[in-house]
Amino acid sequence: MNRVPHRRGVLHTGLALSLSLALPAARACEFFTTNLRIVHPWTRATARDASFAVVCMKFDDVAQADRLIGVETPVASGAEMGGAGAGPGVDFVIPEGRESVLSEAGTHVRLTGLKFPLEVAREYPLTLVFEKGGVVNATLSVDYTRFK
Amino acid sequence: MNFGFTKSQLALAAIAAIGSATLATAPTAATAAGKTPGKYVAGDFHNHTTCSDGSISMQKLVHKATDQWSLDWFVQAGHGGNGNRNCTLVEDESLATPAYPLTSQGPTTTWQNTSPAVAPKGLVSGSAPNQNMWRWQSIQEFQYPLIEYLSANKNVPLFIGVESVVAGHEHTSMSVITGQIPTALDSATLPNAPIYNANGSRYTPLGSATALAQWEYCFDRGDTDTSRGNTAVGSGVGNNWNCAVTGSLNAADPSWNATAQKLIPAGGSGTGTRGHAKTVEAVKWMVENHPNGSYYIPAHLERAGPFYADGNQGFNIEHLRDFNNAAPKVAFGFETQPGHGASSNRGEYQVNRNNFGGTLVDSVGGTTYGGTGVYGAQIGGVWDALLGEGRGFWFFASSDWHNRGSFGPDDRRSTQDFQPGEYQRTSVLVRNGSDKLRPQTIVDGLRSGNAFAASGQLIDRLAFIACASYAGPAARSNAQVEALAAAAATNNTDITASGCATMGEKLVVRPGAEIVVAVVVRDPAGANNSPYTFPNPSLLQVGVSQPVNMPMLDHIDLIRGLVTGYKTPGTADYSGEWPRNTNWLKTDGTTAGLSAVPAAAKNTSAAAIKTFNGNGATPWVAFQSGVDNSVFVKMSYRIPAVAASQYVRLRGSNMPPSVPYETDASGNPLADLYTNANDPTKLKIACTTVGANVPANGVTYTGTAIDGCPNHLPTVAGQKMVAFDVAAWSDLWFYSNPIYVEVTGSTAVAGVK
Repeated sequence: MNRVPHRRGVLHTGLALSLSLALPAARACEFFTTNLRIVHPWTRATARDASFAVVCMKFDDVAQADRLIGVETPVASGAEMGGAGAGPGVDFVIPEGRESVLSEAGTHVRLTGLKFPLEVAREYPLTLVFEKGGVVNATLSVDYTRFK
Repeated sequence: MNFGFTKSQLALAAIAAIGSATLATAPTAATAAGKTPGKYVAGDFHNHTTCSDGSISMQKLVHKATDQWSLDWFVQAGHGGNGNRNCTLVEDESLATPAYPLTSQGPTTTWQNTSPAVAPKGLVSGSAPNQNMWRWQSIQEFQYPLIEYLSANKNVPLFIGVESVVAGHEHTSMSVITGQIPTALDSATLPNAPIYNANGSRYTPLGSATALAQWEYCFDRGDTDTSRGNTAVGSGVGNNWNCAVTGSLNAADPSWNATAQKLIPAGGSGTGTRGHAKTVEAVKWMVENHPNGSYYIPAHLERAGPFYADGNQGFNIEHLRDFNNAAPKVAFGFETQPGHGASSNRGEYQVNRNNFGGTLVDSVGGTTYGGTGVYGAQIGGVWDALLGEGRGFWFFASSDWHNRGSFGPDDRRSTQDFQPGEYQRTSVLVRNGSDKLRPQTIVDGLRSGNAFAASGQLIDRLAFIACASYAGPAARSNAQVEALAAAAATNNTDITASGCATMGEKLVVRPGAEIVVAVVVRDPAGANNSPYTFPNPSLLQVGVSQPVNMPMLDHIDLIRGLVTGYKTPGTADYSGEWPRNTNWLKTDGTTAGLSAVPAAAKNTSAAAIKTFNGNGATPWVAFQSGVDNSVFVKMSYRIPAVAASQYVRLRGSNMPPSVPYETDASGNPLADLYTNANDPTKLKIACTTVGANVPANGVTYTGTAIDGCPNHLPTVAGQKMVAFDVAAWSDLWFYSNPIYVEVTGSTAVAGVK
C-alpha cells in the first residue's frame, strides 16, 4: 500500500467510516449480471496528487456464487484489492444468497495509477468483470469530498 | 434558428389581440366560456440533489433550473427511501442566502457530520456518523423548509415532490402539494439569519410538506422505516402516521405491518404483484386525502423492462390502466420521454439491462427512439392504446438530473444528464390569471393535459387547436382557425373560442362534421442551450449543414387515432406485455412492428394523417408576431366528415425522414442504438468536424462555442462517433398532448370532461 501523504492522511483519521456510507439501493446506479446485482459503485474525491482511489459497492440478489476478478476504468491504470483483503489484482468472492459489500473500512477495490484527480459530483465508466457473470459496464460515482 | 424567411417574404400581420371567428351559432361548445386566462410555462418535476443520489445542493439545483436555464416553475423531486447526505449545505458563497449561509461543509456532508449535527429519526439505517435519514424526515424537516424559503427569497414558483421507488415497479414522479407554499408567504418577512431549530433545520416554514412526507413513508418501496414517522420505532413521538385507505383491507391485508401501520409486502415469489397492489392503494390514498393536490406520473417507465411478477421492474399497459382507473385525476400521465439524455445509453435504456430471475431482459423497446421510450414513440403503441380508450393520459418530460458524468456541474458538456430546463422541458398551460404561479395552478395545468414537451428548445410556443365546421353558416375556413391559433401562440396562451378545443380537451361534434385542425409554432431564433456550434453530424449525412446549437424544425406530423372505449379489467384486451428483447428490437436495430404487439398494448388505427413542412403544395406559412415580431409558422388541415370519435396529436423533429440511423422513410425515429456509446460496435454516425475550439476533457468549459467534435466522444478506428450529449443535441423532437373529438352517437371520450 502506498504511503499516504500528509493531506490524504486526514482521510483515514477522524472518520468513523462504515458500510452505511454507501447510498441506498434502488437507484439508476444498479447494474446486473444474470446471477447478481451490483449496487452503486462509489468513491471519494481524491487529492490533486493522489495515485489511488478506494472503490466501494454492494452485491446482492446473488442467485449464484461468483467472484469479481477484474476492474477496469479510464481513470486509472490498474486495480487491486485493498483494506482487510488487500492483495495483488482483483479477486473478491461473492457468496450466493447474501449481500457482500466492498467498503472503506473493510475490503475494497483500490484503483491504482490514477490518471487525474477524481472530483466530487462526477461519474466515470467502470467495467466490472465477474468469473461467471461476465463483463458489466457500470459507472463509478464520486459521492463525497475527501473530508467529512 | 428560424425558418429561413426574409422579412420581405413574411406575411406581416398585426396579430396582437386574441381574435374570435365570427360564426353562426356553434353546434356544440367544447370548452366552457370564461376560462381563467393562462400562459404556457415551462418546468421540470424530476431531478436529484445530494439528499438523493444527485451531485449538488438544492440551492445549486434551483439556481441552475430557474436562473441559468430559466424555467418558469420547478419541482425538486429526488428519490424516496433514505440518504445520508445533507443537500441543504451550499457549495460556495454565490449560493448562500441569509437563512442558509455558506459553511465549511458542503452538500456531500452526512447529516450526522453536519455542524450542528442533525439526528436522523425512525428506524435506524446505517451507523454513526453516516446514518441515513428517511426521506419523509428530510422532506418534512429540511428539504421543504428550504424550498419554501428559496421560493419566497427568489420569488419563483417552487415546490417539492418525490421520485418514488415504486412497489412492484421502478420509479414514478409524484407530489402531494397540500400545505406547500401557502399564500401567507406572499407577505411574510423572511429571516435575515439562520434559525437553528432543535431538529437542526435553519428556517421555520409557514407551510409544510407533511402530506407528501406521509405519502412517502406509507407507500415508497424504498422507505422501509417502521416508526410511523416518529423519533424511533415504538416511541409514539412524532407523526404517528397510519397509512390506511378507506374501503381497503388495511390491517386485514396480509401485507399490513402493525408496527409500521402500512403495507410492507413480502419479497420472493409474487413480489411484483403484491407491490403493484400496494401502489394502487397509494394512488387511492391520494384520491381520498388530496384529490386535487396530487399527481402520479410513472418515470422512464420502459427502462426496467416489462412488469415482472416476482420482482420490481417496469410497467405494462395494464398497470397504467389500473392507476388511471383508480385515480384518473392523479395518475394522468407518464414520462415516456426520460431524462438521462446525454448518457452512454440514451435515457439509460439498454438491451439486456434487467435481470428477471436470471434472464437478462431489455428495457422495453431496447432503447429510446429519438430520446423517447417506445410506449410514446411508437405510433399505435401503448400511448395510442390509452388515448384510444378516451383516457386523459398525458405525455410529459423531465430531466432526471443527477450529474454530468465525467464533467462537473458547471461544465456545458455531459456524458450523463442534462440539468432541468437545459435540454428537455414540459410546457404547460397554467391558468393563474393575474395571480402568481402557485403549486395548485401548476398541478391543475398538468392534470388538464394542455401541455407539450420539447427537447433542445426545438419549439417554445405551440397552439394546437381543432374546431368543428359544418356546411352552411357554421362553416369555418382554415384561415379562420389558423387565426385563432396564431392569436393564441403569439400571446403564449390558448383559445377561448366556442366550438374549438385544444390539448387535453374534447370537441363534441355531430356526425359528418369537418374538423379543422390548426397548428402554430415558434421555432425560436438564435442558439439553443447546446454548447456546440459545429454542423449537426446527423444532418451532414444527408447534405444538410445546420449548427448543432441552431436546430431548425423540419416537419410536424399530425397523428390521428380512433377512440373505441375503455378496456375492461380482466379481459383479454386489457393486459399485454410489449414484445421482449429481439422479439421487438433486432440486433440490426430494426423493430418487429406492431404485428408483434399484443392487442391490449396497441391501437392500430393510429397513423400520421398529415405531415406539415415548409415544402410542397401546401407549405406552412411563416409570419411575424404582432406582439414581439418573432417568427411563427402556421398550418392547417381539414379532417372530413367524421363519423367516429377520435383524437389528434402532434410530433415534430429537426430530423427529416430517411436520415441514416435517425429516422425511417416515414419520419419515425429509429432506435437510438446507433448513438449509444455503451456498445461501440453499434455506433454508426461519424462526427467529423475538427474545429479550433475543442476544450480538453479535464478542463471545465463553461462557454458555448465548441466548434468541433468534442473530445469525450467515443472513437472507432480513430474516428469520433456521435454519442452522449452530441447525440441528444443533434436529434430533437417535440410531442404535443392530444385533442379529442367526440362524435355524438359514437364512443364517448369518457376520460375527458
